[in-house]
Amino acid sequence: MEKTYVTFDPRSKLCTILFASFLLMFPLPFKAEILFVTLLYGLFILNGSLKKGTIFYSIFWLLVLGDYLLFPYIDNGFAAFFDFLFVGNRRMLPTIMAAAFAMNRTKISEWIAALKKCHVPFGLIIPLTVLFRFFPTLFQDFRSIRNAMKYRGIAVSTIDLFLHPFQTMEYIIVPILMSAENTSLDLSSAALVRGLGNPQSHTSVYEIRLKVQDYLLIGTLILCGIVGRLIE
Amino acid sequence: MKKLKIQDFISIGIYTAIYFLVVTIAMVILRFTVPAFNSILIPSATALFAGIVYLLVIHRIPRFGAITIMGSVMGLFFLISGHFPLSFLPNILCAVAADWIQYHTKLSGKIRTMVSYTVFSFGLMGPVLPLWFMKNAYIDSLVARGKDAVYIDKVFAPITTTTFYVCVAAVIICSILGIMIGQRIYEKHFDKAKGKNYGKNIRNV
Repeated sequence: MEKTYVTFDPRSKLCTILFASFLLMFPLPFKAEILFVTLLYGLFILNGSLKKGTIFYSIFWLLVLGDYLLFPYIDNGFAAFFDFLFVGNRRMLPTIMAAAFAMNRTKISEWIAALKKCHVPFGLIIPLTVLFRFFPTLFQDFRSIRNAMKYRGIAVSTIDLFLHPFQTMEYIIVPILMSAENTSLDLSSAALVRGLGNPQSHTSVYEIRLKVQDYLLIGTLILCGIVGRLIE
Repeated sequence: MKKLKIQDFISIGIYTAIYFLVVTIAMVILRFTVPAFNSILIPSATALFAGIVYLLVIHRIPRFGAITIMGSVMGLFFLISGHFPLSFLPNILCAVAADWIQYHTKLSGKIRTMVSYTVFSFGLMGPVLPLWFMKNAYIDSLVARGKDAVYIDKVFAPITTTTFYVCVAAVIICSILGIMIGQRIYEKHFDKAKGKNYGKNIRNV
């Protein structure tokens, strides 16, 4: 049984994502990159997802290994192409890891509470909440529509879906849009009953507060950035 | 200018979810058909199929702000879920521009929708940016291991500029085609079945 040792505030997780994004724009030298990926691996362990973290970490080293093995044959166009993929994907990996770490074991309600704390406008938070909440319904609808299509003999196999993309889109998107109108009415009434229309500021059951480990994490990130630039 | 109500926000959320579903389907189809560089084609493939969603947003919530919120929510969602980091800026900027074109210019109805949809589709250019960063990372790693700079320039000069122009052209063509397809679907399914005032009636309750 995996266990959560330390929980982080969603805002410090957001900081991690932003830092990884900046890393994409202003690249660090290879040593600092290893340091940062290792730091992310450590965060995964602290968060109690040893398996997921190990998978990401081994992918990173596999990409490094692939690049190392292919580099001597770089004059060949084919090898150069694969080498390019290896190096490029290695550079992309930290952002994906950071996002996976951020989504890992964070409830959507916590995200919403954190975004409210950051003073994101209310008009943005409501659609975002609906977006998250609507996905399960959407996939359920998708499955039902697919069954109905099969029953009527339209695109029975999955290959047919690829062969007639326009037909597929029409038969899937239009029913979903038709039912969306009703869903939005239902959700509106539910939301109004629960007091979403109240102009006063709302409260949340989640206590969103920066703790010691959050300050430590943000401090480490800044330090990692500065040291990374200095090594160069 | 009328203000957006809670119902409108919820509808925008739902339409954004459907738009996101279209993006996901396009991504999955491309992943299985085009190897390696599929991410360049995501904006154009989405533009081809999402015209009907955009048309419905415009018809059901005909107020300034709807498209802006849709684009911003897409950007925020991408930021949190980390699919295309740094894609939130183009998303928001393009959505504001599209909104402005739709409600504050004096073009005729159909052309206006077409132009604003084209601009909106460029918001999904975020996935192309990582390719550019990938290229930079590759060049860095080549330089670090002592490859000749001239050689690198020669290899990479055509790749980005051509792919960039191809991508832009594909987005423009596909979004014009997509909005035409969308208009045909709209006339076929939504105009006749529910009447032009359907959306307005339920919102005035």
